[in-house]
Amino acid sequence: MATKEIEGALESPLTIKMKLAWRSFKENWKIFSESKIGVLGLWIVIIFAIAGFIVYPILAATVWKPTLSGMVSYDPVTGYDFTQMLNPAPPSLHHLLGTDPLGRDVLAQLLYSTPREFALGILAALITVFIGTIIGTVSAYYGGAVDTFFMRLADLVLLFPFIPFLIVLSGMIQIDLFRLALIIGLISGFGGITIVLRSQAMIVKVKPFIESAKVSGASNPYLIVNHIIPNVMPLSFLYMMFNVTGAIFSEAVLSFFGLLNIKMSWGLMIYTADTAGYIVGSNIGHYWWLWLPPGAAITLLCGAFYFIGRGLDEVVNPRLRRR
Amino acid sequence: MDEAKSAVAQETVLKVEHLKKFFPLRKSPFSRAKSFLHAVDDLNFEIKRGEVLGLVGESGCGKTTTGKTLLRLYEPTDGKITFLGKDVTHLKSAQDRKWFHSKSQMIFQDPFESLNPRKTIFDIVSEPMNIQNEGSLKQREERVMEILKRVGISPPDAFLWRYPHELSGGQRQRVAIARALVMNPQFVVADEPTSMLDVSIRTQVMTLMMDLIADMHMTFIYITHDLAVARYMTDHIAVMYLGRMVEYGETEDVIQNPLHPYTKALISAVPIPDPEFKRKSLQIKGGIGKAIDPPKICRFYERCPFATERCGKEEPPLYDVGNGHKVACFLYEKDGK
Repeated sequence: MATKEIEGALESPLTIKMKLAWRSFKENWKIFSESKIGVLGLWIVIIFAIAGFIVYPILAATVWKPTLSGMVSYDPVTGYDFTQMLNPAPPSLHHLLGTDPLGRDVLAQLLYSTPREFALGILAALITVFIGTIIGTVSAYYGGAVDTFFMRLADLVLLFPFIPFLIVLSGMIQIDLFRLALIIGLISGFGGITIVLRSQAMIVKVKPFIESAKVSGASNPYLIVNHIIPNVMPLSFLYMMFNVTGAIFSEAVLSFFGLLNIKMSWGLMIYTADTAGYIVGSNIGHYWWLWLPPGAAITLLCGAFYFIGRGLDEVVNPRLRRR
Repeated sequence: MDEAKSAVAQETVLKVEHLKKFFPLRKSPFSRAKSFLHAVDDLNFEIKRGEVLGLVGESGCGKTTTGKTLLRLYEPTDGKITFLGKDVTHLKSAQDRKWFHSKSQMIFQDPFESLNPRKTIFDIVSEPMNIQNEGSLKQREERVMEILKRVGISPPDAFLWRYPHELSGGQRQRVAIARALVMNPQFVVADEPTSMLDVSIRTQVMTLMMDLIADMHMTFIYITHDLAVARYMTDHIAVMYLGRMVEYGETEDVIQNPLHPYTKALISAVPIPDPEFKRKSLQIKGGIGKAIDPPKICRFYERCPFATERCGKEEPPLYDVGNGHKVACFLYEKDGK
């Protein structure tokens, strides 16, 4: 056979791999876009992302630029608006979502926190999935004592009182956003996700293609990296979406208790309103702009990531598809 | 074809002596095994270069376990495997493992499960080269194209970057064969490679394998429960029953003149497409048992219509009745040597 003829027909494997990846992305997108709930979630996330990453920097540089009014400069996220007579003030043209008891602009706080919530949720979820995938596949593959150890550990983590633990921890160390993401990622990485990914890896482990690679002399790490992980990857990705929700939610709970050392977050906004006594009794209806925007933002963003997860679920599990 | 075969030196490629594989049966993972499943019990045979040995028997008789133990997917409990003059029973050093795994391969039964659904055909076929670090990417591509063409996937470049789910069953099995042969192995175990295929494609795939065996002078173990397939494909047949070899000989010899009662029953169960055909059919009782701690008697004792008292007390050895035809039955003690 003429070698030249073959060489002419070959494209570089990298470009072909890229094309294949693009093609499978398009196929999966088609399935995903058929799930209404997933697309809804994606839109909510996109809107939040635009608001946090594009709209806020623009507004901060123009409208909310710390200005000198009289003697004092005003920062809408931290500072006190002296031009406002009474704080908290209801929504007005000057402050679209009103101000909080400390005279800070609610909309500015809301937008300022958005990128941080994204960063926290995604970092925590990445750590969780990274640990969960490795532990899950390794314990499924090797079995025996390794498996028993990690599965019992997962049982412990599942029963672990997570929020009380963080409350105690916050008394001992300063928890900022990065540390919180690390802690949430580490703890949930050893929990339920390992059990799910392990069970998936157990299914893949006994497939003949694993034996076929063994016959060719494949080592255990080769099998885990090249055969088992690619086959559990879609499920890891799905669980990543659910973990973003969990991380954002935990952050909101902790800031609501005032246990985090952070400048601003949605949970902290509700905390401020609560400690100043504006969510008590009939005040709750009267000062709605203090708790409704951050509350709705938490609910919407958590829900959106969950919806995306549900949409991905249909891509990953063909049984859920209605076709 | 016979001439081509005799031209090759009649070198013994694989020699198996007293091969045993027992699986421990434990009640809990911490207790010691009290009983063992004798999946393969005292197997002896040798295969010369270019020869095809058929392992025949009903399901659960240890055919697949034998194949997998020979390829070292299972650690043998006892016995000795010699491959090209080298003892490969316990591949201790990494060098030996690399050498053995680059020279032996397996073709699996189910082409739908034996190809990773997330890999392209190129990745699948080039995997043995990838694992063994053989050749540059360019060389691998050329070799993959060549072998795909050889197994009848053409044009190969149209299939190189497809996924297994885009191929038909026959094409998949061809890809699996290509993967097994990409490194030019000396010894291949084929575990019922045609049983999952449509009857229409079966013969094509079998003919392809016959051609490849003759071309590449491979030593082949063909595992099957189908005697017609075994007759078509193999030079020698080993009939297994509950982990033991009950009859061994040249294929035509065994099929025309079966000696062991179990082989007789197997052959009489093959349907003949002739309504006028009258054959002495041999009825055997019961079903296949389990080889869990079997007593040292003939394993076929309970089902055998010719069983004598002696069969229930002793284990029959393999008697050679001439022409390399061996049978493990006391009925042939006088003929045997």
